Amino acid sequence: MKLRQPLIYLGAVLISLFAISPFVWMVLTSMKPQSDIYSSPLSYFPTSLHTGGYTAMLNPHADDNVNFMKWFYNTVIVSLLTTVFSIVISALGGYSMSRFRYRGRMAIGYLILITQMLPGSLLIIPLYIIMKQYNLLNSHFGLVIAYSTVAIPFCTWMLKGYFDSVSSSIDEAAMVDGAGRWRTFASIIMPLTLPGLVVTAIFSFLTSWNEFLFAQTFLSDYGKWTLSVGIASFQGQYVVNWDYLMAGSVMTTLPIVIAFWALQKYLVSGMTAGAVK
Amino acid sequence: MIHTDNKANNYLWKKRAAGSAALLVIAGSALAGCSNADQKPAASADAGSSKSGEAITLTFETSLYAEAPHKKAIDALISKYNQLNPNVKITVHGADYENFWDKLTTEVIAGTQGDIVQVYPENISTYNSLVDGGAFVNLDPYIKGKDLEKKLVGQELSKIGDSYYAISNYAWGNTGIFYRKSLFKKAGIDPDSIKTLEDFKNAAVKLGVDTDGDGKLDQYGFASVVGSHPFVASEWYRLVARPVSGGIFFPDGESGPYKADRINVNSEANVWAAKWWQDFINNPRATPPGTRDKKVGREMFWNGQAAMNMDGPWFIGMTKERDPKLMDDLGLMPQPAIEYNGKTYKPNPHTNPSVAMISKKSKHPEEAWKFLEWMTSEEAQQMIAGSGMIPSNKNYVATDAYKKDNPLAVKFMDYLNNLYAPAVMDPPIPEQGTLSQIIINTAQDIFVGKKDPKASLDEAAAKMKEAFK
Repeated sequence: MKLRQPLIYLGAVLISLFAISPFVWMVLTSMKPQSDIYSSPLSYFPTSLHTGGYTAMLNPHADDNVNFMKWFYNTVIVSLLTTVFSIVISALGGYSMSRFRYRGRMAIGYLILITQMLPGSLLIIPLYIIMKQYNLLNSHFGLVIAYSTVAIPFCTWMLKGYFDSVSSSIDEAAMVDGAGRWRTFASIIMPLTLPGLVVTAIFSFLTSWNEFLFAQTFLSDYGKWTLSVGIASFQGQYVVNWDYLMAGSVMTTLPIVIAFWALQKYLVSGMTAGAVK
Repeated sequence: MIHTDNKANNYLWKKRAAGSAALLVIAGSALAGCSNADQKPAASADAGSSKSGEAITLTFETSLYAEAPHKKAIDALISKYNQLNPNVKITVHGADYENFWDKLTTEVIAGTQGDIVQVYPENISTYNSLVDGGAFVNLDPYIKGKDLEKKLVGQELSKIGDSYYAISNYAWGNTGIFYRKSLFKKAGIDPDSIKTLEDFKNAAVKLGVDTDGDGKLDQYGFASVVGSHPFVASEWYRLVARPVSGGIFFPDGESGPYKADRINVNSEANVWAAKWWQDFINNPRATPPGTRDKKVGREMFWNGQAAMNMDGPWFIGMTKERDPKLMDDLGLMPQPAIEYNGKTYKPNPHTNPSVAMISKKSKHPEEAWKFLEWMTSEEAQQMIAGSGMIPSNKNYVATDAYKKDNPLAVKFMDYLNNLYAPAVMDPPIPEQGTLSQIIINTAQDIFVGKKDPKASLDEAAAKMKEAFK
């Protein structure tokens, strides 16, 4: 019995190490010189510290072919706009599904959910045609709309769950005190579901931050690329810049890691908030 | 549970909701206006402004721009052309090489491809045929009977039927065998003595040595591709199969008529070539054990673990970038001739030129043509030489200045003119994508899975014939 606790810890440590090993490998490779990357037998640690990849990412004059800061800026703009759009629309939709009783309420809900069951590769051609018709190809706004179509259905259902977890007596109490429906929603219910909103916002942000297929198909201009498309370009026809690829991947991952770390208290409470009514 | 039977509240709610929705629409429209300001479909830029002197925008779509040396060359070309023609703005569109082709397919079908699209000759027919009536402009009026027809390497390959649909105005490169001079010297091998495929094999075996005396081989003769990379097929058929069989897909230099009953993949010569290559790459001294893609093979060459590597002129620039000191140790020899059934066959690697097409959707085909034609000028070809490939204008490559600055690259021109048989390229047919995938899968079966060459090639032939039904 005395051994049980240490064994559980050991198991947890081993599973954690396994989970973070790809990230550790990515960090190590990003600091290896080319000769280490291909060395045989395999070299786990850099024999000398190579920062060329990071220099190329951060210094726009280090390599003409790398526009990392521009891609980073584009990705931030697209991800933030997608998050704002998705949260505003999903919060209204989720609140409506949670609080109002109208004909076809659940049918609409399930219809929204069905869109989540279609793979991105199936949606891309119709979306491409729509984007073309509305002159939205090769534009960040078009990409925001495309990402929102993916994020909104899921976010709506997530937020419905969070709104359901807040007793409707609170709405009644607010309205007895003179608040209108909008005031009740914006000033009472929204703050109460903040952890849920944060989780939903992170989901929405991640959807667009990591997305590759839509970005690669809809954006043609190299200056408009997002990080995922830019980093993929380090795999050329004849050569792969592994140090660039890994340094770029580390730098793309870092903001997300920091965001998770900063928002972890909301995440823990937010993930369980909608679990029980 | 609240039911919305409070009329006053309902009224206020509806009013505010309507206000919020209006605000969202306005914000959305404003954002759309902001982020969409400079966005136009690739082929409809500045419609109606093609009169001389008026500003126009051309889009130049290429997979090469994602590669640093090509980006430098293309940026220089555009900048210079813009200096000469201030009214013409050229923007580059595209994606990385792996994803470029799927993206181009979507664009051509939707009619949103760039004004100019840069591809390889084997892609011309495939992409042109994606839409009824063709997606690209017939360039016969600009090229036929003109100097351009003769002075550009690969121009003869830029046809569909008898008509030109592309101009070979950028650069090209075929393949040769790069070797490490020091390793050859140490092994006592004279590179000039390697004339035939058997000479090549003997040299590769001799170069496989245990350099540190630990009883294990740590240097190999040739860094072949053994893996999922398409080169697993192309190294085999460029070096061995095509010279002896005349074509991996169709006989007589991959020539037409392109019909199912002319499929050549399982011909006696191709089966012999597959067996030869399978034996060669399974020889532990000739090639390293295990699987590897082209990138790993190149690294092994640079690290001194492999003495030979089959590559094109782009490898010169890559080696220089990897380590300028390696340049002193870099040698180049032509692909060997092949003795088969008592006859000697010359190598016939294809020249891989990058060619440019003009979209039928372009609002400015004349301006697009002017830019493409300017790219063949000496001034432009000099900039293209910086890409590491060999500029397509034969007259420019023949200049003393080019020869002096590019001694290794000039050797490729010499091989093309004097040692190699006429270049053979993939058939320019819409089915080519399917045929290429079949040959890659088959090469993986034979060279990675070590399956029987005859049975695998028979199976490939059946699948290829099926592709024509």
